[in-house]
Amino acid sequence: MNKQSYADVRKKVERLSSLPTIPPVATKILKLIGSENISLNKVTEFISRDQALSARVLKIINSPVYGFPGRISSISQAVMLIGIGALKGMLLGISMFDMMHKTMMGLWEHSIGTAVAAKAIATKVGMKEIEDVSVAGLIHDIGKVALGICYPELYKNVIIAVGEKKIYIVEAEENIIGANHAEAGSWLARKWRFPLSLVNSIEYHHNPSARHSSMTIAIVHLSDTIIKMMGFGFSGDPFAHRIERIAWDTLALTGEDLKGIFIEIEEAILSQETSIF
Amino acid sequence: MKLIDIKNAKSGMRLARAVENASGMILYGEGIKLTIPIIEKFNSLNIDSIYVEGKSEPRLSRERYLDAADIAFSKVSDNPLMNEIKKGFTEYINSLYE
Repeated sequence: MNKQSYADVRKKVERLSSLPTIPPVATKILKLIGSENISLNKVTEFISRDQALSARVLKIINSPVYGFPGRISSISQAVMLIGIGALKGMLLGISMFDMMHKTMMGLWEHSIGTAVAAKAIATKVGMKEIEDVSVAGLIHDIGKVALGICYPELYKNVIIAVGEKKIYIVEAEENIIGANHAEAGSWLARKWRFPLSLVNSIEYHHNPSARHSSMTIAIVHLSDTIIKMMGFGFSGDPFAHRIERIAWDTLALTGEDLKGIFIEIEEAILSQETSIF
Repeated sequence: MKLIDIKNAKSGMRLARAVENASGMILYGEGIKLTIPIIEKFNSLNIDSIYVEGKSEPRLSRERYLDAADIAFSKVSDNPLMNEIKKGFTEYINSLYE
């Protein structure tokens, strides 16, 4: 198969939920996420009906990705605590979990690691909407899963090209498929009516200055690099992107802050390696 | 202080952070020494992880941490900000092995 036109890639990615290779549970979740009048009650009911899904939601919400002080034991409590925007993102992460494994080994770990790093940074800079930032970290690479599902053969070639030519995965995706994962992820996030901050952090996580770097974008941008540097998970290429000065200045972290963040991330990874990773 | 999976909790360890329920009420305070009944109680409450006193074993060897950082930064090694971040990380990794 040859490189697609940009418009064709977008059309195919936006129709992803109707692809036959999507597992039935994921199709149901994607349908729910994309429905226009989604209410907290509707989501609670949907999750509570599925025991396996409930267990996964509770596992993540009680993990250091969120870090609530006590144990959250019911779905209704979880839904109230993190809100509809973050919950939609978390459900998307969960529904794509199995597919992430097929796309590339280690992408789930990279995603969880980025969420943990995002939470640590958001806490350090005193942000209030920590759950939204964690979710932005969790699903920032969702476009890789989307491209991997829509173009399985081409995506294998992307991974090979990264290994052979030592190039960034963004470059390989553009050369081989015709669009990159940040674009693909943002198309989906827009189609599924995700909050704008989430759409932007998916789209601009490699180049925050293109969007007058918001705090959330800056955090995901830095988290992505830190987690690669810490050697946790695999996101398709091992190379960190240059941290843009505007993002770094937005965060205004000191050397001591950074050390505290490294410690938080390592502790979180060490404590959870056997459960959610 | 280290965060451990409840499966690795042992009697004699001391809580480094209080264990709270979802409403923020303290169930067991900081400094409490763990006993088998307390660990069983944590299990019955479905508590997955706790902070205890002590230092964690590093996840990787020093060489593997530093190799991962070298590879990650190989395309940006001429950038002063990236070098600053890497230097901070290298110092942190070295401190794990002191």
